[in-house]
Amino acid sequence: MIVRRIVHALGLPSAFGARVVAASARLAWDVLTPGSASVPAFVRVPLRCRSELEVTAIANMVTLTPGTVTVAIRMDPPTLWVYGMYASDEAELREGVRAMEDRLLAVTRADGAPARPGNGEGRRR
Amino acid sequence: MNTVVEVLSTACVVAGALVFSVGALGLLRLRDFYARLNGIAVSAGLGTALPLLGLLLRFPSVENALKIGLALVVQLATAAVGGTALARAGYLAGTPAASETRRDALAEASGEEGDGAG
Amino acid sequence: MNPLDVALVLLVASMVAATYRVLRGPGKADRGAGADVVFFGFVSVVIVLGLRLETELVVDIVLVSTLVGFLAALSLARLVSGGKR
Repeated sequence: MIVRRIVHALGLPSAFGARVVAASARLAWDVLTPGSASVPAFVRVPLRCRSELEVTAIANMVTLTPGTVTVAIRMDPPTLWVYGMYASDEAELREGVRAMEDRLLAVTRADGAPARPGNGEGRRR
Repeated sequence: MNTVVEVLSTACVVAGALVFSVGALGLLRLRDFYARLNGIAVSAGLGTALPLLGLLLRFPSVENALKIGLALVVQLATAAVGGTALARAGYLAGTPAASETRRDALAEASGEEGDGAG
Repeated sequence: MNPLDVALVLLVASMVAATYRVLRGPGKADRGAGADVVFFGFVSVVIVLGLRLETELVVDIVLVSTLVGFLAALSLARLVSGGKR
């Protein structure tokens, strides 16, 4: 069990690094070529993270990825408001955050990442 | 052998400087404050990590690996925490977004943010 | 021409671009963003100078600059929000 978490802890930085490189390349292409493919939007992303450590980590990972910036954080219920530059499909942007969240929770939780809820639109309070 | 590592180190630094200047160009070219923050993420993340790697390759030792590793962690923390804090501060200060930005999801949140990003 | 000189020119040009953003704005938030990039550029310039001048001393300078940069970034954000949390 603990071995699995250690393996995930080692995999997280490399997976995140690959994500950052890919996102940087996308943004660089947008900056260097005339015109822009960007479809900006502020998107609400409900989280499965619960502790402050988990929420802080995912918020910082979102900001560190070029193309997305965390604009606001709320703890109750844990939710991020994310500015996305390529948010023509909001579900796709949420999916990207959730993919990182999966990897993060696999490290921080003893029983692995919990299953994903729906796209979160039905959970408004 | 030694020269191969030196060439790699120089390549890392030059590539880092290129990435950095792309991010800075984004600071000029991108259309609103929130988009420019993404340009900063490029400069502060990859654009600084690559030169740091080049520095380590040029002066490899355990001591330097620790110092440069710590510098990298602090640099990434600066980029992440600073970026989030700046985005939040800019949003609270009412910095306008480009007109085509869809903001339905955030309109609901304005005025009721929880604890901050600092 | 030494490739490191090219890197130095690129970094200084980036810092000039960021300075333009600090002077031009518009708005406090954009000035803060530009100032952040000027600082990150400084860290990279120190690295390139260290390689160019073949001195290992810069490792310490880089470490201290990143620590100062962390505080600077938070202070800038506080400045932009006008003291509000």
